[in-house]
Amino acid sequence: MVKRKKGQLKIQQMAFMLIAVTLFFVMVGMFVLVIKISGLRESANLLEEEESMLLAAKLANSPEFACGESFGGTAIGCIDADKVMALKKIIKDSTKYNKFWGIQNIEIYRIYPPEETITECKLEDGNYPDCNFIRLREDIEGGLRSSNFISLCRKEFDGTETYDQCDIAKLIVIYKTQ
Amino acid sequence: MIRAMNKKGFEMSFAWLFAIIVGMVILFFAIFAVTKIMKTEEGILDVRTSKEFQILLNPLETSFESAIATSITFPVETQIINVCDNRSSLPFGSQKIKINQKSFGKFTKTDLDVKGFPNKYILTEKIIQGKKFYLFSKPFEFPFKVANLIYMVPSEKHYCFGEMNEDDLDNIKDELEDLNKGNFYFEDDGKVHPENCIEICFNGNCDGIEVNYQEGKGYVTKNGKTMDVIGDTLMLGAIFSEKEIYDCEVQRLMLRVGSLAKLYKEKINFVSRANCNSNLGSQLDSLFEKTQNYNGDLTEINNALVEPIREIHKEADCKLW
Repeated sequence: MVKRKKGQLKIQQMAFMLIAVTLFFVMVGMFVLVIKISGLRESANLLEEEESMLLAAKLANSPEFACGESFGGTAIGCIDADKVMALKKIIKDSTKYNKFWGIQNIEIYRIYPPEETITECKLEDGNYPDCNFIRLREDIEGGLRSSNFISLCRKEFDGTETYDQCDIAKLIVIYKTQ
Repeated sequence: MIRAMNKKGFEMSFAWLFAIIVGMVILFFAIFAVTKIMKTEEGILDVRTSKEFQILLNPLETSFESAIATSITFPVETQIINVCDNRSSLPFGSQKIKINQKSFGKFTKTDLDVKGFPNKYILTEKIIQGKKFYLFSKPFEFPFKVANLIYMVPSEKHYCFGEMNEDDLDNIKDELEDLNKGNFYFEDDGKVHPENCIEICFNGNCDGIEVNYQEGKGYVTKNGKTMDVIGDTLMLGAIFSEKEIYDCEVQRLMLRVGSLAKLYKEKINFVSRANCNSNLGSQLDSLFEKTQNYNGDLTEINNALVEPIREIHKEADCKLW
């Protein structure tokens, strides 16, 4: 049998050492990568939150919601309830607006004049405008929320003439985190 | 004759050789990994900057003011690439902004996909470059408000506006002067116009951008290509962008016009309960049909549908928009 020399043993030691060092750095690298990815997710969520907050502030002026000149003059932060109901119907019939604002859902609560119960405006019930809560999509629940106060206007008829009815409402933007 | 071997030669043991080879392999992989990570980091930074940049555009997008302005300054020389998609991201198309920043003397290139915005319309040339960019926006109505168009120009690029016809362009001249942009020059402003200024002519031919615009309609010729324009907002859009981007954005705008026409048609049913009636139903239907199958006939749609709708709506007791 051939005897093992000292040099062979050293080579083996070095090889094991090098593999151990490499493995160590690979593990450190993976650890850093995991921290990085969680940081990325966090910053993506922050961007999402920032975007939805800005959206809640500006959505009322978007052509799909804004009062425009329907209620005399141009009002900022005014939402046309009749238009929102029309939008709700379009959204129910098609998927067109599903990803348009990059959020999950939009809700509008009429908060003044105050009412004891919350009644959702439903197309199939035909209870509009005798309701105080509009949800654009009825099939989506949950999510994080950003809100803003707006005036909610609609056309009304008192038996003799058409008039503008404006109330105070809260616009809620519901978004999903990554 | 065989020479005697030099016995003073350098002798390297196998242990050394082995250590050098494995060390080189490890070093190679380490350098490779660092380079890859650096590239990824640059890409992430570009994507994050472009996303933040698009969020910063929000206040411009839904303002009611006729023309509002702001500026954005990047810490390093930056390339902004306008990616307008009117084909794959239906039903509204999408607006993407890709950002490449200068690093070690050259622009980073990222292949990472940036999420687009279906509700933004940015009119710029395909690639603009600089550190500081001027941005301003104007609402586009066709005949109802459709969106605010955002224009973006690098501060290093100078625009010299020629003599403007007072009847047709007086408002737009005042608006542009009010923006107080350092790179906009006007014929009678008393400033020294730089040599590399891009000329914009409203009367006659010139080497720069030719604008033929009367009573709210006309065309703009830039780089030998002609763009039909309706209204001041699109006219400015054609001046500050280029044909490929302009046509794409106009097509996206038409898709939104169609959707809004449908929305207003639907609204007629909801306001009729309050004795608020409108006779625009059939015209709104036609506008929807025409804009969904838009093939560049902007002027035709304007003359045949938008102007009549605008006239009827102006006289209506019950306003839909």
